[in-house]
Amino acid sequence: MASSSDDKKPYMKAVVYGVISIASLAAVLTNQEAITALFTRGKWYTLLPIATVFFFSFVHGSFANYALSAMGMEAKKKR
Amino acid sequence: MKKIMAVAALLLFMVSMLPVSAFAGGGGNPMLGNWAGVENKTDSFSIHKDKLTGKFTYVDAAGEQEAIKRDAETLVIGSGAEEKVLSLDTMSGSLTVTSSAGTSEFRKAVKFITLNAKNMLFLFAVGLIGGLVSGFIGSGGAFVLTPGMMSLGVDGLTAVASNMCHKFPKALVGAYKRYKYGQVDIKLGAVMGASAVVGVLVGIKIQQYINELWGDAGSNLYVSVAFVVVLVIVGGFVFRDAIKIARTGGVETTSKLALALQKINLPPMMDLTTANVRISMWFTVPVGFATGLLAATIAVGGFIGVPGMIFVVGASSMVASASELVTAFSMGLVGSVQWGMLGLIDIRLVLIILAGSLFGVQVGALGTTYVKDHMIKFVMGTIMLMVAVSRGLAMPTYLGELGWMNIEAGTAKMLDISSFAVMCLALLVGAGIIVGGMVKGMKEEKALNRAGSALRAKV
Repeated sequence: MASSSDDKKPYMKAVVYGVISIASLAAVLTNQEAITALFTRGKWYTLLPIATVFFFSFVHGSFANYALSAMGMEAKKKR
Repeated sequence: MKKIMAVAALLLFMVSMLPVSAFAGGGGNPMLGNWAGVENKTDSFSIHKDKLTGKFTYVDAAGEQEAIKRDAETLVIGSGAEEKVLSLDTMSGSLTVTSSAGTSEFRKAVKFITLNAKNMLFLFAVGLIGGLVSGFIGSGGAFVLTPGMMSLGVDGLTAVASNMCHKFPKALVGAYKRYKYGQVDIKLGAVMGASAVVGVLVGIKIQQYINELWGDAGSNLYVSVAFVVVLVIVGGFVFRDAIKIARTGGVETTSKLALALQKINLPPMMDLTTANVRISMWFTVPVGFATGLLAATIAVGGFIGVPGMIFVVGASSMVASASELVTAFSMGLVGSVQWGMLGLIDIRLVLIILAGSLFGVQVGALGTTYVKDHMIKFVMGTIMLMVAVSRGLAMPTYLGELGWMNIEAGTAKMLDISSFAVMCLALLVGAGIIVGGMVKGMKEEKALNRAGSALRAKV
């Protein structure tokens, strides 16, 4: 009998968040000069790198979380 | 409800600190470097500082040098009708030059490094390993990043700023994961976070005072001495405690100091539910303050914060290392906003490091569920002692720069390389112990699960 835990592995979620994460990073790296110029203008422009970092943390953090789960790396279950 | 209020109170406090704080995270005078005019970009100059004398020099676009007189937060060039006053607005990050001709605004003209595959891979790897260590012991991954970035050619202040900007989201993700595992005491982390922010401000003032007295070489020496003293004493103590627990059956007990302090009824008393501790707020605030003070000095506050929560407050290693991530988040966010206002965050570096560290921190976090509490102390103690050796190797160079010791250029260079190598080794050894402990714990868990399934199948 196939293990029911395999059904619960979040492969799809890992792929979706992975794609968004890589796309976000690629978007920043392919527009380096423009983004750097805008993000380093100081004052209220500070919100741009801070918001970007929060967004990337959510997306990439989720990707990492689901990818690790899909690889079978999870916290020990409490007995 | 109480937890939400604790987090809200911490956030409000942090916001109130923003106008007061300056360049949290330690490292460098933000007036130094290249400045370009906002209205006229060709109007540029740079400010340099002599390492030994601490004297500032103004160099204009044509290369003409002028000495600068320092008066609190303003720098003055020339005198009489030729006088120019330079003042930095720490909130906006702009430098204003006022002279008889009028007022001009300047912004930092920082050149960010060119990224190539090697740089990116290096940053990703350091982020990954650093994240792993931070997720496990609550702190420590960041100390390698600033010198690591600088070894790629990143400007010192940009390295500190970008490091700080990666620290707080990594701490947030780590804290969230460990909160889900039931390890974070939010109240403890919040109180520590608030007092740590104050500690950072005081720590920066001390740094600035030492910089004015003895210049950059003096600052570097002060930082190294702080590293060595704190890491040897605290690291040695933590390491010895871990060995003792391992030898006597692996069960962590509350320290005598913490038990004694918990008995003292000094209002306001705090009931820390996750930590399972009742203690006066007057004993947790100094631990948070010391964390901030150390963070402003050596960029890692957790080396005092985590042992402080364990041996002074009486939290377990698991809860202390998890709650430290809340403290790291608060210090990191306040500092990042400040650096961001100066336009010094290189978002490319931050995102690449985060790409690695957000994986690492979650692996480190889940790793704690497979090991006994004292493993955290063992890893922490090992890393702290090795980093102490690394900083000790760097000290002769600073003593030589101050003229307090005779050292040849070749020897200094060799010591610098060894210092950096030992620091990287410290992180690798820590990561190795974590991974080893995790793999062992996971194997044992799998064996137990298999045995359990076999038993259920028989029944």
